[in-house]
Amino acid sequence: MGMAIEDAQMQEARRLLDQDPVSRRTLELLRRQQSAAGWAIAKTLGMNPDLVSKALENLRCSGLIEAESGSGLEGFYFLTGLAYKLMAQSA
Amino acid sequence: MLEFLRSNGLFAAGIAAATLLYLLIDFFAVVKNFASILKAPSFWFFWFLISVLNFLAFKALNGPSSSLGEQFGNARELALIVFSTLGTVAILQSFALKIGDRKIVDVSTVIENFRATVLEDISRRAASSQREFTSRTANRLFDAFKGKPAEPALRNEFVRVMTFGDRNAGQVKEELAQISVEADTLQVPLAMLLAQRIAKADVGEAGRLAREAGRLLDQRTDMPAGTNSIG
Repeated sequence: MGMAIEDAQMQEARRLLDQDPVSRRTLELLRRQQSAAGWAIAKTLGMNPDLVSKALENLRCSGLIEAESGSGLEGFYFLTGLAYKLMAQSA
Repeated sequence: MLEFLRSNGLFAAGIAAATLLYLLIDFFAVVKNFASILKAPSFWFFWFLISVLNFLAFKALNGPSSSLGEQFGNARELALIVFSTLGTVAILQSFALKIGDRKIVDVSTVIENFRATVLEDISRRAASSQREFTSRTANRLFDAFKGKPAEPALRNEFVRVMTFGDRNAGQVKEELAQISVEADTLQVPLAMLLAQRIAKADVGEAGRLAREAGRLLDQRTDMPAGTNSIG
């Protein structure tokens, strides 16, 4: 049962990354840096902060990232176990 | 127990060290942050678990009737520690028992899930450290620029740092005006909120600005009044 839920989560996360390049780039940046503030992600990627904020929310909803504190661009984000498993499978 | 430790203590220490070395290399390849790895309690629990399994593997390889590793002479135990460490890790990472089409035992998934949990714990600690560092840098920046005379210089830096991508200075000035309203509402110095935002967007630049604050303020006083303040 737990595995089925996780498989569904994984599929949902894959779909998000396939469809949304901003989410994909955000996740890639977090993989390289381990953690970053929302504003730092927007500046490092040189992207519109509103787009990055939306991507962070999408990634959070799909269970790939979590905020250590704060929310939106003010939050500090890191990768979850699901993201690490997804990356291990994609490697 | 004491006798067990006396006879196996050196091997146990060697096995624990070999396991630790392997896990540090394995986790560092992913998270590249030794400090966060060593601070994560789940990492140490994982290490303890693998060390115990490794010790059992070592005892199996080093049984009284075992001749494994005799070609290594005096370094036989050391070679067995290497074999048992690699063997334990390889088995844990790939062991699954299938009967028909059903996996009856799947150790690899359990280990993979545990490893992902450890990585998440390490990343959470990295994020916590990053937040604390950013906060300290913002405080240093605020200390360097606090006070009404210095505030315009920090506003200029805010506009410079926050103008990136396809954003123009006009949009950033709007943000500045919003932060100014927020500072009035919260009754905190505007410079504090500006320093926090600059540090969150670019902590390296915030640190550099804090170090060079004196020079930046001198430049400002050299310029004609009203030419360098924004907002």
